[in-house]
Amino acid sequence: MQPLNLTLDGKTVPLKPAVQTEASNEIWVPLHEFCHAVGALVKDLDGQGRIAVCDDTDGDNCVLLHPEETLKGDDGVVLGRLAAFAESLDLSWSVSDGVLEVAHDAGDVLTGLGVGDRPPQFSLPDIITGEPRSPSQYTGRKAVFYMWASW
Amino acid sequence: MLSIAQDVQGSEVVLPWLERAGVTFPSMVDQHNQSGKLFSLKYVPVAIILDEEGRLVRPVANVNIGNDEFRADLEAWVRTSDIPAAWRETPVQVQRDLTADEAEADVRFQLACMLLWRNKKKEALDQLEEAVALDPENWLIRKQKWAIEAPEAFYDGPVDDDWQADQRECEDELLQKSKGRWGSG
Repeated sequence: MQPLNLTLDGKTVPLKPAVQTEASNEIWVPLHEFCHAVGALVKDLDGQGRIAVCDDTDGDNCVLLHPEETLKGDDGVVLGRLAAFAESLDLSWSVSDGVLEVAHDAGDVLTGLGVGDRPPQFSLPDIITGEPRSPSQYTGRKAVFYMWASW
Repeated sequence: MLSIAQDVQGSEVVLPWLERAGVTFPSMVDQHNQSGKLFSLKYVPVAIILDEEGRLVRPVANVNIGNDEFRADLEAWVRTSDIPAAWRETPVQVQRDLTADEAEADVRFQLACMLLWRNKKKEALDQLEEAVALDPENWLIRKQKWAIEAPEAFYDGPVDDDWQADQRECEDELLQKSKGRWGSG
């Protein structure tokens, strides 16, 4: 199997590589991560391996994957055959130079924030003073907002 | 440099960490996961790095502040304003609306926040348990539930990674068993 990096709507996304089988040229993607990235749901129907992929914007739009349309890798990651469900999610794809390029059909609203984009504004309280702080207050200066947790 | 603590328990659990680290820069606390939802994130640590015009110089993504390479890139960018190649190549985090399950998990998380504020810990944990069942890969919810359930594994000395591994295994097993309840809606 040949590993493939993945782009979604023209932007690289941080998924485990998809793979292309050498014999049949079929494309397989890490099912749960891929569906999460494209706004779809993976439903385990019975705990016995019967899986459906559903468009979350339309709960009735589900595709049942046959057993031969999923594989379990050595690392436990479930791979799904892209051709089995992409069309129902309005996804098109192509492979070029080791990259699997997946695109939503026009009308969908998925985006990603890349270099040069302005992030959405937010306002959070200063932990000492309680006064609101937001990125716009730091315009004119370089700023690093480091998100962390105590846990 | 600013920090945003993702902590539903608020400043009470955050301040001791900041004091131990001797932090002098401004710090915020995000009890309601505002920033996580805004950037479609389910984990920390993450960095949002902005130039003087408020534009991203690196996609909003996971970061290891202790990594020598990252620190060298950061210092070089501060000095020169040249965006490091590694930052340009950092994968973009896809942003999208919450799914129905994620939205319900968020509502339960917000309710848990309110219940904690009112010292109703058991009721808060019940809501967090439901939230985890709905959105089990959201570590911003799942690990906060653990930290409230078992504070000794998080706040008494070093964070107990073995405890977390055991907890995850047990919880995954329970979630799998309850698939009939949560997985087919």
